[in-house]
Amino acid sequence: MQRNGKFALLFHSLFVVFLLAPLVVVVLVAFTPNGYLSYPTSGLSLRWFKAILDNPAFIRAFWNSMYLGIAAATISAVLAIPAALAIVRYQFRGRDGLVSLFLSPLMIPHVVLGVAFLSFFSRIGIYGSFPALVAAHVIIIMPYTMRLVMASVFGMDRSAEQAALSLGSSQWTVFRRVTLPMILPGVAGGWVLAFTTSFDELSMTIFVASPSTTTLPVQMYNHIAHTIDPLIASVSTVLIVITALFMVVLDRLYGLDKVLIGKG
Amino acid sequence: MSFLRLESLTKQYGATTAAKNITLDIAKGEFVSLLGPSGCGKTTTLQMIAGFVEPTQGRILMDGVNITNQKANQRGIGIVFQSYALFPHMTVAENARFGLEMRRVPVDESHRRVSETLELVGLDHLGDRYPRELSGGQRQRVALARALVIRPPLLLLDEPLSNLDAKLRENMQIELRNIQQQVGTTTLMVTHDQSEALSLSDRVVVMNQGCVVQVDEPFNAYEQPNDTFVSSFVGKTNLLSAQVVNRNGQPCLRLGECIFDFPVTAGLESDDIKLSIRPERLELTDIHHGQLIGRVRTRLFLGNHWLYQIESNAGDLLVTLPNHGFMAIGVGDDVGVRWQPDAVRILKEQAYG
Repeated sequence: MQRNGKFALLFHSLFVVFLLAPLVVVVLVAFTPNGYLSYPTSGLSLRWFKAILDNPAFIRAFWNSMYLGIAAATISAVLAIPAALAIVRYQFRGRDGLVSLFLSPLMIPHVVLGVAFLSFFSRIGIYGSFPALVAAHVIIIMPYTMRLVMASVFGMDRSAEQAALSLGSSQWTVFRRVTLPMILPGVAGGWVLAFTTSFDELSMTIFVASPSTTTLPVQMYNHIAHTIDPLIASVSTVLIVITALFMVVLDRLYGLDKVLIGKG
Repeated sequence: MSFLRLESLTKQYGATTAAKNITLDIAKGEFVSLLGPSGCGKTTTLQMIAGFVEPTQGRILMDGVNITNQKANQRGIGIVFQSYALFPHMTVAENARFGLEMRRVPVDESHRRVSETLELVGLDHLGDRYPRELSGGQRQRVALARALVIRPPLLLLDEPLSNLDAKLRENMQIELRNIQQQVGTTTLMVTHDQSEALSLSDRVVVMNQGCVVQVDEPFNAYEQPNDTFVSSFVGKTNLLSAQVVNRNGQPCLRLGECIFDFPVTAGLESDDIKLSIRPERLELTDIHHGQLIGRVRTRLFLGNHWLYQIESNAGDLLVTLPNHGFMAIGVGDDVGVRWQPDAVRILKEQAYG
C-alpha cells in the first residue's frame, strides 16, 4: 500500500534524518580514544565509558534525576486525577481560572521560574533540598499530566460508571474498579511525558539544585562549562541506550501509541 | 397489583420541564416501552427510576416500597445502556461477574450464575474475550447478561438496539423478547423506534414534550390513537382535515369532494376535524369507483409492498399496496382512492405541553 507521494516520502525521510543524525554523531564520538571531541576518530575505544565510572558525580546526578523524575511525575499524576475529574465533569466558580493556573507553567520561561523558586526557597529556608526540587518540578510538569488526564476523562463513557453504580458499587469502588482503570492510559501517558520533561529540565533546575541535589542535565552542563571532552558524549550515549531500551520494553508491554497518545 | 408505580413524577431543569406528571403502573413481569421522539422525557424518566436523576416532584414505588430517595447503588435495578457501557478493561465473564462481586456472592455460586447467564444470551464460549474483540450484537448481549446476572426485580433498557444495524436489530428484538419471557423480569424499555416498541412490549407508553400521551397495548395504540401526535408517531398515517357538513338533516363528514356518513359525529367540538387513515387501509381503484380521485405522483418499491403518493383534493395521500408480483399502476395515472368506513379515525388535536 503506497500512501505517501514521492514528495511526502522525501520530506519524511529528511525529517527523520534531521531528527536522528545528531544522536548518531554523539554515539560515534563517544567511542573516540582521543581526549577531545572529534569525528572521524582515529580508532574505537571504550575509554570515555570507563571515564563515567571514574566520575561518581555523574552517577549520583543520574540517580538524583531518576528519583526526582519518578517522585515528581507520580505526585503530579496523583494530583492531576482528582483535578481533571473535577474540571472536566463539574461546572463551578473559578473553574476556568483553575485550568489556566494548572497550564500556566507552560507559558512562563523556565529561567524566570528558576529565579523565582531560588529566592522563594531561600527565603523559607528549604533551598537546595530534595523536596524543594520535587515541588518545583511538580509545578512545571503539571501541564503535561493535566492535559493527558483531562483528555482521557473527557473521552470516557460515563455510563460505565452508572452501570457500576446500578450493579451495587459504592462511589469509591466505582472510582477504583471502573473510572481509574478506564482513564489509566491517559494517566500513564501523562506520567511518562512528565517524567521525561522532569528528567530533561535544565534551565530552571540549575537555579534550584544544590551540589547535593544536582541533576544529570545540570551536572552535564556544569561539566561542559569547564571542560569539553568526550565524556559528555559517552554519558549521552548511555542515556540514549537506556531510553531506547525503555521504549522497546514499554512498546512490548503496553504499546507505545497507547501510553503516549492515550489510545484505548 | 402494580409492581412499579410512578406517581406524578416530574423533573425540572431550571425553567424547562423534562418530565411532567408521569404516572404509570407496571405489573410484575410486564414489558413496557416508553416511546417518543428525542427530548420527550423518556430518558429522564428512566434515569429517575434508575436513581441517576433526582425527581423534582413525585414518587417511585417498587414492590410497594418508596425508592424515590434511595441511592442508585441500593436499588438493585438492572440497566442496559445505549452505549452498552461495558467495562473495557474486564473480560466478558468479569463484566458479567461484577454485580455478583459487589454483592459478595460466594465464588462457586457466582461462577455458576455467570456461566448460566452467558449461556442464556448465547455467549458462553466468549467469556475470556475483551469487549473490544466483540461485535456490536455480542456487546449488547454482554450488557444484557451483566444486568440480568444480579436477578434484578426490574430491568431498564435505554435504547438497547439503536446502535445495531437493521438486520441484527430484528434478530435481537426477537431474542430480547424471548429472554425477557424466559426470565420473567419486569422490563421498562426506552426507545424512539416505534416498530421496536410495538413488537417487543406488552404495553406502550407514548410520550411527547415531557407528558404521557397514551398508554395502551401496541395494537390499540396503533389502531385507536388518542390524538394526532400518537397517530403520526406510531406508524405512518394520512392526517387529513375534514369538515362536518349537513346532508339531508344528517351530520356527515366532507373530505375533498367526498361526503360520507360517519357514526360518531355527535359530540364533536368543532366543524373542522382531523382524520387519520392508515396507508394500508386505503385501496387504489379506477376513477369511477373511488371515494376520492387523485393522480399518482411517486411510486416506491419496498420489497414486500409498494408505497404510492397520491395527489388529491383532500391533500396528499400515502397508500401502501402489498406486492403481488405484478404492477398495474404507474406514475401519472389517474386513480380512485377507496376505504372502508372502519378505517377512519377522528383525532383530537394534541393539547398538552
